[in-house]
Amino acid sequence: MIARLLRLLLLKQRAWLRHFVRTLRSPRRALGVLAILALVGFGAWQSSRGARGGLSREPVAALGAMIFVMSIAGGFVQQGPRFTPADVDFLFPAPFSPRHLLVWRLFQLWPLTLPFSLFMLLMLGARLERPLRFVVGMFLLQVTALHLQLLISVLLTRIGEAMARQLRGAGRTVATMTLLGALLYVVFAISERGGIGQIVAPLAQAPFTRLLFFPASACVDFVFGETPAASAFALLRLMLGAAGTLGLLLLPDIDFREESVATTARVARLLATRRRTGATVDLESGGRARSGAVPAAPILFRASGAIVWKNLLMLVRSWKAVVPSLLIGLLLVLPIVLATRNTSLTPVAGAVAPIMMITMFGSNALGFDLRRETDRLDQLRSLPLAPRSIVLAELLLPWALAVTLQEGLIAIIALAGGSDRSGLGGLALAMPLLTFVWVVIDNLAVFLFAAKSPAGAARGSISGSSPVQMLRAVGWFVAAIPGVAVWRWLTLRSGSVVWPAAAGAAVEIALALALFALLVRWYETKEVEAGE
Amino acid sequence: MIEVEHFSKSYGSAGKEKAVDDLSFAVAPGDILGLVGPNGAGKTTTLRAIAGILRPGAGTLRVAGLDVVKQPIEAKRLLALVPDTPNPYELLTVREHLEFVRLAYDLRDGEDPDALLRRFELAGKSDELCGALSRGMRQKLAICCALLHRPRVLLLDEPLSGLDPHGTRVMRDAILQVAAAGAAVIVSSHQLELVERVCNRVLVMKRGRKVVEGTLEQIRAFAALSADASLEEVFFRVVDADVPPAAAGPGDGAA
Repeated sequence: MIARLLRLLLLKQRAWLRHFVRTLRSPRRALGVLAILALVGFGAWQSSRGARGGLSREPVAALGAMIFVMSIAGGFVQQGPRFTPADVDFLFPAPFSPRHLLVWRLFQLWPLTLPFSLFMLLMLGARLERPLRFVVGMFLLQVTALHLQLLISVLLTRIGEAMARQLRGAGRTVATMTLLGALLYVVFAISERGGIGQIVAPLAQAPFTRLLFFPASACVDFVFGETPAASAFALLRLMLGAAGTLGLLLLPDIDFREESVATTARVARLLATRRRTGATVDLESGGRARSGAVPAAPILFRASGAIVWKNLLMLVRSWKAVVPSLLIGLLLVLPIVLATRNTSLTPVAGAVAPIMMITMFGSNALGFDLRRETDRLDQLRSLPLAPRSIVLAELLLPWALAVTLQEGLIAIIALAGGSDRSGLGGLALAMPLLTFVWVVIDNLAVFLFAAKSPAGAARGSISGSSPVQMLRAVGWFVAAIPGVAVWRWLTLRSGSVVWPAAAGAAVEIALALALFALLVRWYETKEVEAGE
Repeated sequence: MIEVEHFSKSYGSAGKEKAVDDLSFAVAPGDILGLVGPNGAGKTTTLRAIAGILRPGAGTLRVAGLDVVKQPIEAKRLLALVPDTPNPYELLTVREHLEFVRLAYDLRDGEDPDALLRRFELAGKSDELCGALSRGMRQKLAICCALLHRPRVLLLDEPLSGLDPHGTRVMRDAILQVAAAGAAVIVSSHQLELVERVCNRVLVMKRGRKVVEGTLEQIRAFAALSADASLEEVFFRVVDADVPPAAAGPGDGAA
């Protein structure tokens, strides 16, 4: 039976690989993949330079505990493990036992834990003394957490729906609190006061904590083991943890299929809604809301202002999706601030990468603009409003939110010890203009390069595919060059501050207008589906 | 009220797929024109072009004398389109969706939203998110949004799809009321019974071209059928027969 499942998996993976190779025939896709490879290669090269080491046990312990808690919390939000809709349609009716179905799910989930380990390796690379051990340790930690997650979701099928709903709420709360805690930890760690390592260190060594987060403590012992014997013992604990939890998962053979069908359908609906709207509301199970969450003041929102009002309402109803995305974004961005603080980079130069990253995260989470409206172009176009007013109104909210995020991050950098306050002030002034260019580029990139749905319309996903993400980032970088180059060149020649900045801004304004005109042109001429 | 003159539209990279070819017709105030034809006849393309959503490849489209290409905003203020698959903003409630339309059209008067919601049995759903509505409810919401600004031109693409019997009757009555108030209405539908019951003129399209246009009596005569023949019989006779495109039916050129 397992051999049959493996053959199925092989068939599926081969189809995926063939599809991937086929997409590479498109120059746009190939360009995107090349851009990703170049970025990863650059990151690896950067990591390999300089002296190794410097990362202590506490950050790895905190990271491991966070992954562990988030996985466990993930188990509580599913009553019956989630499968793909195709699994439910074709494998559930096939002659497979629940245990076999769990093995099938694991075949698909195990490999997915590796990319995260590799990503963390890329982020922490140079600061790790034993990168290979880190990857192995993180992999086994995640596998153990995954087994426990599935086990919890299987056991939840034995309890009533009401209790499961309560546990689901508790799981979500724990996940959010963990994210917030991790964020606080990072913020304190980059502060001038030296972080909260002294609190985490004894906590990480306490027997209760080591028992509660046993895979995380074993992972840390393995990565930082001082003797070969200590490391080998830690590895053994990790492997036993993974194997033991697998045994616990597969032993009972509980029939979870009925609940899994419901969970899969619910999550598929949520994902579809989130792709279309960014919301976490389960709309098809009878979503209700209080009308007028944002008062429709005609003075503010008449004509094209109605579009801003509509986007504000969508934002208000999507906060459950938006806030975790932003928290995760901040979690990934703030360590970079810490990393660049002790380098030769000026605070302004060091702030550029974090600002671009947080804007990228923010743009994906806060994309209440034309990217979400590709399925509704006919509705927008039938409104008695000029195309440029519609496009501008659609861009206004994501622009304002992105600028707010950036200014907040600049304030954190300044408070965390950025000595060049005037430079950071200049950056804070420049960002609104540059961000408008970036928001326009985001929309253009998704419209021009996003994958097409079978019907021919651009996919509802606001972020588009990974190559599109990369092309957006490249576009942002290239768009900033003319203004910065003019500003830099004039500053060096004149020594003045004000008019080189004004000239740089003028160049970027011209670029913004040109790109905006291009986007309006696209909006006006894009063919909607042919119909009959 | 609606004037379409030599309208053509092509799709595809080189414009090779001709969706509509040299179509001309007119709809007077108070008239209800039924637009019928097999799949791919060009009905939706025609409605979308009149609504200013698609740019015509050739020809002129006018609404109340306003060219929809040259004066799009003024023309759009006078018309409303109910699409075949309404796609409302999922995260807005039903009431907020009507409010959105009111703000976008900058309406100071217009229909009473509550009365519209009651008429189309949506009053109990006013605080429901549009994404949670069934297809029929979305259809009703779309017609409410369309009627809110009292359009002088109403374009309906498959208006009965997804509606229950009560909704069908309410929709039919609404179409007749709008026409009685002096609006020009075009109903594109595969439901020939609806067209037969509410439309006073019928335009049959095939492969992007007009086959015949006129009153039901006129197209019966064109199809050489008896006076009691149903529109369905007429439709199959006209569409299945190898009638030359743009055969200049009895109502050709008549407004």
